[in-house]
Amino acid sequence: MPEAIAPATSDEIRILLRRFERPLLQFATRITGDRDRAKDIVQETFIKYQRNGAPSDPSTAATWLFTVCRNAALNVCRKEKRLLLLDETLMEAQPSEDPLPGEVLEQKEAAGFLMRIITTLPPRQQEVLQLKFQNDLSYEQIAEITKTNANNVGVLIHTALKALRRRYAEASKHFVAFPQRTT
Amino acid sequence: MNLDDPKLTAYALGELSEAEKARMEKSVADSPEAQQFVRETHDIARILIAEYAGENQADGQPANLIDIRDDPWFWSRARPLAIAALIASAALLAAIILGPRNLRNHLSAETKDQPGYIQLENVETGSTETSPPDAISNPFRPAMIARVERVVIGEIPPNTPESRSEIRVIEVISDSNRLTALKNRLATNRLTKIVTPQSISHGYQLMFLDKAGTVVAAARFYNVPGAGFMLQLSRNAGTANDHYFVGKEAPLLPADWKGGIDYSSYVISFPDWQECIGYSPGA
Repeated sequence: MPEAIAPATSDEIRILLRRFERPLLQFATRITGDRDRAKDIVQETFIKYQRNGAPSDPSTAATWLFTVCRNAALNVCRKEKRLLLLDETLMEAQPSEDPLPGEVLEQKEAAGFLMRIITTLPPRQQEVLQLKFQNDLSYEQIAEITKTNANNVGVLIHTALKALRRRYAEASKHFVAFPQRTT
Repeated sequence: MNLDDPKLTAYALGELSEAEKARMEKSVADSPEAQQFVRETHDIARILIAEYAGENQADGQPANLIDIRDDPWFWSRARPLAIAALIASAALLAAIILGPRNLRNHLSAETKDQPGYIQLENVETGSTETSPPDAISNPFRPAMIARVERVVIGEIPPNTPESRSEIRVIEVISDSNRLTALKNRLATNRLTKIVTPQSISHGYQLMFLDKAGTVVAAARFYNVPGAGFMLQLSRNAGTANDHYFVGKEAPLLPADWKGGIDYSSYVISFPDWQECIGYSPGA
């Protein structure tokens, strides 16, 4: 846990809420699988930030917020005996090779297709993708939040992107929805 | 070169140290496969960023809660009061709707399960319906537009299904002056709302390509009688084997698309079309 520095000011809170409220909510929802619980967790995270103080530098604050939010979400899972992401083995599990329901039919809808593939990846890979591409965090920051090292984050992201690229390419092979030019 | 090296992905995503980056640059320069891998990683990263951004937008607009929530008084006093007020309102409503017999069960469920966060959202956002804004921000990012190196102009043949239209290419613009003018116009910050007249039957499609030939932005160019020439941004566009496509079945372009906005109702005014393109739709 990053070291607390000083109570946060209203301006700091305002900026951080704007920037991180929704990403944190989505992050906590992915961990708990429960939107309402996720809202509580995000609220608690910001209350802790305000009361206890936290780094004011935006990049450090991001790491702080996601770390606190993740810990709180995992605590909820433990307390409520949810199996979702507690089991590290499960978190590292291999992605499903089965096609998504309706993959062939719906692949024409490129928008959102990648997000549907993401849901088939192991939770740990989903987590690092979200931190990287939704929140623009560095490997180092992600490593700190997820309690691992940057090399492991690199492997997770590489593996996840490889799976996405392969599944996307497979879908694209069928993506000849357009008639070929004849003139 | 080993394409299954996580360092290659880290290189493509800008995650290597300067020393590692320099080493990797040399290796990539010698390997067309690695260059292709880096391009594909950039492409998939762009799509992911756009899709996560879309997910953010689809998640609603809680920003108007901020001014109240960041006030320390709010946390200590107003929040409990707001919750209490809402519980009281819920109780009154339940009493009216459900009647005395069901009230206790209903209330206990409400007070037990509803976290304060939700209550606050209900209080402050309300359920107002708003009409579409007169102007919205341009979803195409300046950094993406800056990458444009060519613009393909084409026509959409009549009677083509809107969901999958192939463009009949007329011209490819790579002249720097015209290109700069087009990019500047496309980078206009705000899109303005327009009521599109039904009489518009003809337009050109512009496809903005980067160095690798990837479509990074697209727009329809047409004339609105009485209002002038317009650029209407396209959400979906793509290319395959030198063929260009638009319509719902084409890939979603990487941009900050917001949920709930009908982008076909917004345009960029295009007064300098003559210096950019030189001919007008229907001419």
